[in-house]
Amino acid sequence: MKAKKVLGFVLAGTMIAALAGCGSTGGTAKEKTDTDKKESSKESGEDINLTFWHIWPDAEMGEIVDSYVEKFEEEHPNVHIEAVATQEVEYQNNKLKVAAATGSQGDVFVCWGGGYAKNYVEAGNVLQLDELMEKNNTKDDLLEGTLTYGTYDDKVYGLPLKQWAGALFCNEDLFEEYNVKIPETFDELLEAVKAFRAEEVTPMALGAKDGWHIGMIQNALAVRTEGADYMNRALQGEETLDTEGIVKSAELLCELNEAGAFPEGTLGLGAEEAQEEFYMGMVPMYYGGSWVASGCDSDENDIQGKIKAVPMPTVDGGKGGVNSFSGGAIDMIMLNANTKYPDMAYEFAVGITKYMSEEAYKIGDSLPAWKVDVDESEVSPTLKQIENLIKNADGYVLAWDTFLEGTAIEKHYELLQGLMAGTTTPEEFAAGMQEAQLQVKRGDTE
Amino acid sequence: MERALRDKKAICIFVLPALIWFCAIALFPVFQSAGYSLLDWDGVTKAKFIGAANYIKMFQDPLFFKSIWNSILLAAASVFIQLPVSMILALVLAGGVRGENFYRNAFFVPVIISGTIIAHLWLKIYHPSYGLLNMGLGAVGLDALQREWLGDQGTALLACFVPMVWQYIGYHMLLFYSAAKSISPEIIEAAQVDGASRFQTAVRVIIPMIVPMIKACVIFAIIGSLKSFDLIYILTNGGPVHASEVPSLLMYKKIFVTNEYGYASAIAIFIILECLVFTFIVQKIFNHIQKD
Repeated sequence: MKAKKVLGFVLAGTMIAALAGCGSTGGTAKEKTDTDKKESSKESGEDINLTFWHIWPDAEMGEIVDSYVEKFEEEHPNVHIEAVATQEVEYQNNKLKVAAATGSQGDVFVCWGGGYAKNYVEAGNVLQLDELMEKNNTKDDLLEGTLTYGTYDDKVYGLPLKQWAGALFCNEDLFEEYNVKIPETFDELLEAVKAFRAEEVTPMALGAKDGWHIGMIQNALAVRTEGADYMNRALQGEETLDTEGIVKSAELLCELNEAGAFPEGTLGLGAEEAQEEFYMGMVPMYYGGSWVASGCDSDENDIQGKIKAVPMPTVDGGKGGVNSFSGGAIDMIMLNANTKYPDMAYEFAVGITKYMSEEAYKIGDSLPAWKVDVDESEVSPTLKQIENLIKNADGYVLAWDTFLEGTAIEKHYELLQGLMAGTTTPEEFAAGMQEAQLQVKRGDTE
Repeated sequence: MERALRDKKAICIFVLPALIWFCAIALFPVFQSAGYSLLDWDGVTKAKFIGAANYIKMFQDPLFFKSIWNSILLAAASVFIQLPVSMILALVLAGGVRGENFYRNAFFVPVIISGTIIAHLWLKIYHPSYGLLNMGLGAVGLDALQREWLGDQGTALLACFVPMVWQYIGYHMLLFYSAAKSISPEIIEAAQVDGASRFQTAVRVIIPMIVPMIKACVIFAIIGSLKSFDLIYILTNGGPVHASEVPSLLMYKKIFVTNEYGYASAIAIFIILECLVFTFIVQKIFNHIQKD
């Protein structure tokens, strides 16, 4: 396999060399090798081939990528960009992991900050961007705080693609039909759950087969009970995860579960399946990231225009107020440390990141990470609601599974499912998370 | 021809390409995994040699034992439920029924369908609120039996076994059927002339004559069960709370979710050894039966 690849590269290389030789500047081929790569590419129009690995094989997002690639190629006639799309889960769990281990991923690739990319950065397979950023004044265009999770050891490795923030999406039609108040506090949420359950309506969408889906709710509750600052420090390993507040967040999750908040057999349902019932207008509430907005505004779904996004209800006595959110900028675009054309790759990466940020914002997929200039009327209305919610945001906490590393992630899912199944107590949950976190950190220092 | 077969050099030369191929794609990776299993390695950064520590960890991991136990239960279900059903179907078909070809093909269909599709079919069947199974139970008044089949720790494993056992019934049926068909008709006629009923012919004549095929099927069924992955991966992903974990799935998760490449390799080696041991035991048992 590897030999084949090498052979492929050799052949491609020979072909490029031959093509360059045929061109009008053929005579200078020898001199070219001596000069700086970027210079030569500008002056002689040397062919530059870049591969871009992304996660949008679907039509809507795929088109956005293609249109930018086309635009970029038009502006840079000597550059050819090959965009390779892979389905996200497959990409995140398999493809990128295998490739990034040896540095054979695309020149420009979609990646996730926090714990996910840490290994690849440490292995030296991701290009450090500080110099390029300074040279191009990139930081001026970025929104505050969006580089946090792409930064390792004070050096920047990732360009943020988007931000997300969690919200409770409520189907106002159903709330009106059953005469229930949209909840602002946790007690009201419990009441709403009971009211819907009494009418034999599943109150909240949740596919607990996917651990992360339970995590969304518990993580958001932890922001309420323990506060954003503390959670960020704790997840980085500076503080313990075994606190009363975190026990409380798990207790609240169990309370919801016992009140019948979630679909029957939720532990056997996947996230997509569960979410579908919300989109079909059968389930009144869904706590999710801002990406849910695109589904809420999609023409294909019956709930278009009926959705009100509100913050996660507040918890009495909790340390986090209504203005702290689950979320942050974790989706990144990074460069391969082995790329032959770092400057061109960087230019493309910045361009596409900005562009995607803007377009994804328009279709309601996510909040922008860059200072974008978008016509308000083009923006997805549900996303606009979230944007208004976070105007006064005073803190964000990422989903735990993007923060944590290795074994701690699996442990997190396991404990969450245990809470749902009633085999794990909230105390065991908090203690178990702390232990898993410690184990990973210990492994790091060994 | 005979001379060619006696020419050792020729044999070596002709066998060599296949042998190299086999070593490169089957044997070599096994040894490579064995090597990895001695490392503390996340698959990316530098590996550290830790000797047998992964194996020690494995034998102290309750989850690992649970997964092994689940796979052994599955193997038992395959041998004692799947194979007898296949055998009955094969004998009935081989005995000659109207529409023999049709039934043979119909039973074989699940074998051709990809495991992923079967898993999705059964996901829908098991769906707690609008699944065929719960709706069917409700329709005949058996509401008490309705379950959250895949979401309940008590039923998840069983719910996974049903499609897994069902899927390969047709496969083993076809093997038994072809073996039964290859018995020369004179023998069966002789039995009938002696006054044996159809049942007696099947039990006393056909089954003893296809013991080698039964042996092969038992080995296939056991190894297939110990390596099972696809259906469970989609149906429950080992959940809820590891109720339906199997070794291959555990290995997959160790590599791709928690980045424990070394530990996962140790599990892989264990699965290989486990399969070899079971094959050996089955061989021994059948040798014993065949001698009697």
